Amino acid sequence: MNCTRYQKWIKRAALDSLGASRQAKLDAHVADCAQCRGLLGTERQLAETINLALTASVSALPLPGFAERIRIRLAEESERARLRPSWIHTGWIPISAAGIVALATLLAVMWPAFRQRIQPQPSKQTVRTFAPNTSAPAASLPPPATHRAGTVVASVAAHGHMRSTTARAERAKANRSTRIEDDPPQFQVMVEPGQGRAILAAYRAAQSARVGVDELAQASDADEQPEKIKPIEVNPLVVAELYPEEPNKPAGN
Amino acid sequence: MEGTVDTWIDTLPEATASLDIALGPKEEADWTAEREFEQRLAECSPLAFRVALGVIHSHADAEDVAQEALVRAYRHFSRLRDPAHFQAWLVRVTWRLAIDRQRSAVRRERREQAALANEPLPLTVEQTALSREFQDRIERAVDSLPEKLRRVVILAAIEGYDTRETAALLGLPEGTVRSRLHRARQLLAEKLR
Repeated sequence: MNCTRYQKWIKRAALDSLGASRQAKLDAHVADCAQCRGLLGTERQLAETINLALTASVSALPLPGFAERIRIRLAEESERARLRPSWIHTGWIPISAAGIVALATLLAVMWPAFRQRIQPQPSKQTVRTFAPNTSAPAASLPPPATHRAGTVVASVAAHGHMRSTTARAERAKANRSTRIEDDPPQFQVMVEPGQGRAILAAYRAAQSARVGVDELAQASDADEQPEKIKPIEVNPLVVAELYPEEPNKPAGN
Repeated sequence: MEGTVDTWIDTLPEATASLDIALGPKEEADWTAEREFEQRLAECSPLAFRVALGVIHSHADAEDVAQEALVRAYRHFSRLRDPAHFQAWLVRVTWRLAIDRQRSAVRRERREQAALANEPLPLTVEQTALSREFQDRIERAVDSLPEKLRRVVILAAIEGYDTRETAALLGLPEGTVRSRLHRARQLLAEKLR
């Protein structure tokens, strides 16, 4: 007799989880097989013992006076809560924790911009400007002009404002949702050597994000005027020297 | 003492009426909430105790845990007025507190000491089931079950909580509870065979 299949069923039957048709087959088998009958008896006994033990393990009741002990504890808690200052409340703990986390997150987000602000200012040798009111991305902006021994080129809007490339200005530019269609025409200011004060004024204005053209003009008109470029004096070309007139040949020679 | 408090609370409306003391709306709401909580306390404190006992197997610790769970329930009672919600919430909180308590080394030591007690050899199924030795074995076997099986098997073992009740307490479908219960019993049988 093949008992292997029935032995698997016996374990399930002991836990009352065998289907009806299989249970019927098993019952028929154990009626004839003493070994399987014995196994089924053992498994059922084990399952019963487990159930009884489980029930016994959680059947106990609390000791008498349990509810009263809880009431006393609640009364003590209420008294403690009453004596506690109103601002000290357990509800503040999670609120404070959430606030600290929010503040830390905000600081972490703001730190790059803040760091950019507190960084040392660039040396006087470099003046970075760009034309305002352009919707072009930052990458397409004109390269920064550099104050070298020669000429500094500053792009200034005709309406009289120059903006620095500070983070604030760039952010404002990036956040601008509507394109300004009628940008004022732009022009370039040629700064000649010797216009130190004008450059300085432009630089300071650029750092403060705005500068008026008038201010720039006044600065450039100050006492430190650029040296006027003297026209190159070119000696008159003596054509006669280059191309000396040949003596008129007598016609017909 | 318990009866005294109950009696006093029961007679409060009459007492106030005879003294012609009018309760304000807030006082009346507080008083109603107190009464409701008293009712839940009477109904559910054995359940909380048994859940805790099923996890930590120590009467003293189970009472501590059940007390703590009920005190927390009192604090949050404004959100737990619905009886079914209250019961499910209480079981969850008690379970969590009991698991935390179980992890404490003190309780484990106590259980090991208790297991060392000498007892006569059992003879019948009941005697086997109730013997300290078998209780200790089954406690260890239950403790070693995965938590989702353990929760189901303990709740289903509590008298009066069948599969449907257990499913309602745990917020699970009945079929899930039934299959978990079967799996848990299979594992227990394997461990205790």
